[in-house]
Amino acid sequence: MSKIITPDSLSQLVINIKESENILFNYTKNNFNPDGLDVISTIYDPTFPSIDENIVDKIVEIYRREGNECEVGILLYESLENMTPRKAGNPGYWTQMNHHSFYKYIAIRWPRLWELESAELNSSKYILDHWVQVSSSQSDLMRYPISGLWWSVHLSIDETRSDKYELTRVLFMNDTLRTRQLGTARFARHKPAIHAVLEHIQDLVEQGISLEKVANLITPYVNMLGGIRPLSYFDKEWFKHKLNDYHF
Amino acid sequence: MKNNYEFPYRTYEFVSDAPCEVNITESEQSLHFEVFLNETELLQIDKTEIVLEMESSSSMHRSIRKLHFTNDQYVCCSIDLELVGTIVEYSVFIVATEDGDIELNGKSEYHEKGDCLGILSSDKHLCDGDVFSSFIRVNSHGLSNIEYDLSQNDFITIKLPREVYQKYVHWQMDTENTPLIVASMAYPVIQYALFEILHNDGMNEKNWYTILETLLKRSNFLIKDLTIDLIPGAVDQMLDSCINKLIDATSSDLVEDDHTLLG
Repeated sequence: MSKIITPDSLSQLVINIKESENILFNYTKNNFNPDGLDVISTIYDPTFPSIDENIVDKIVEIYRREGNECEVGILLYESLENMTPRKAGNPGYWTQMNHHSFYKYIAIRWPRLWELESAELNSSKYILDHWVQVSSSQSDLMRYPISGLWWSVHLSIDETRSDKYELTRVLFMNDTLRTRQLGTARFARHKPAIHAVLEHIQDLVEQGISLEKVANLITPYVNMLGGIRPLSYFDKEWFKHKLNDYHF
Repeated sequence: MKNNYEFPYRTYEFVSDAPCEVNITESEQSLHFEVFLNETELLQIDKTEIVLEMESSSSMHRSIRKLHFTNDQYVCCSIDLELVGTIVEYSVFIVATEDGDIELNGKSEYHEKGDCLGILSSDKHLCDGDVFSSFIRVNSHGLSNIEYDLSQNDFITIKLPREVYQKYVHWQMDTENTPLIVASMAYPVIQYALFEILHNDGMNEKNWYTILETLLKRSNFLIKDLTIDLIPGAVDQMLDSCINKLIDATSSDLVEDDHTLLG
C-alpha cells in the first residue's frame, strides 16, 4: 500500500514553494520535515507499490559505492513490484516517494541545494526540479530523479536477452542521452524502436565512435524516419536495417 | 522515388469528412475501441491496410493494431488500461504494406512499406474521466442531460452527454480554463453532494466523503455543522474563492466602475 499526494496538494505545494521562503527550510540535508508542509494531503491506494526502507538504504549504498545510477535503477525497478505504466505515470505517487522514502537519495545525488550560496542557486526552482512532480509528461517522468530511474529501466529492459538489462546499461552510459535525448523521444514509447537504437549505439561505441556524437545524431534521424509513417508499425529489424543504412 | 513527404501525411483524398468513426468505451480493466468504416472502397486499394495507433504520454505507450474489417465494416479491439495513462491519443491510418507503386485517387505513386497514405480519424480519449480533482471526475454517458453520480466509492462523477464531453476533453486541457472548470463544474457538484449528505445517511462511508470532509475542515467547516444556507459559502471557501477567481480570470480588464455592469 502506498500514499499518493492529491492533485490539489501538488498544485498548492508548487505555489507555496514559489511564494514562501520559509517552506524551503523543511528541505534539510538529511531529511525532509513534513510538519511545515501542512498543504500536503495524501490518499492511500493499496494498488500502488511501496518500497522497503532497507532497499532504499541499499540503493543509497550502491550509489555511494559506484557513483553510477544503473544498478540503482535496476534495484528500484525490481523492488517496485506490481508497478504498471499507468501507475508509474502518476506524479502524486512519485512526489510522495521523493519526499519520503527517496528524500535522502535525492539529497545525496543532487546536493547543490546545500553546497552553493543562496545567491548562486534558485532554491525554489531547484526543489521544484528535483522533488516536486506535477506533470505526467514523458519528459518530466524521465527527468525527475526517481521516476526517471524506473522509466529508464522499463523502456530498456529486454526480456528476450540472457541479460535482460544489457540495453539498460547502454542507456545509463550517459545521463543526457537517458534523460534528455533518447528518453524523451516519442519513438522511445515503442519498445522495438528504442531497443534497436540502444543496440546500435552499443555496436557503434564498441567500434570506437564517440557516444556523444552518436547520441546527438541518432534521435533526430529516427524522428525523421517517423515523419511520414507511424513508427509503431515497424519491428526491431526494420529499425536496425534503417540505422545500419545511416553513417554516423 | 518518393513524393509523399507532405506532412501530415494526407495523400489520399477521402470522399467524406468522416471516412471512419471510432467509439471508445471503458470497462474495469480495458479500453475498447470500435471502428466503423464508412468508406469501404478503402479496403479495395491494393498493398494497403488500415491500422489503429494508440499512444499515451504518461504511460510512454505507443502501439499499433492492424484492423481486419469484417463484412459489416466493423472491427473492435482492446487495450489493457494499465498500459495507458489518463489521456490516450489515437489515430486510424491507411498504410502501405509493401514497397511499390500504389494507385490512389487514380494516380500511381511509389510508396515504401509503412508509409502513411491517409489519416481516417484522429482524436484523444480521457480515461477514467478527467480526474481534475482528487475526488471528482468527469465522464460521458449516452443521455442528453447532465447527471451527478454519488454512488461510486472514490469519486463524485459528473456525467456529460457524449458530444459535450468530447468538447470538454479538449477545453479542459487549456490550463487557462481551470477557474471556469472549478466554478462551473466543481462548485455546483460539491454543493449538490453536500445537500445529499444532509438528507441521506450512509454517504460518510465513501472515500470521496473523507476527502471532502478533510478539505472542508481545512477551511474551518465541519460537515456535521453545515446547514443549507452555509453550503454555498463553505464550498466557495474550500475551492479557494472560486467565484472570485472566475471573475478575475474572465474579466481581467474591468475597471472599478465597470463592476456595476455585473450588478
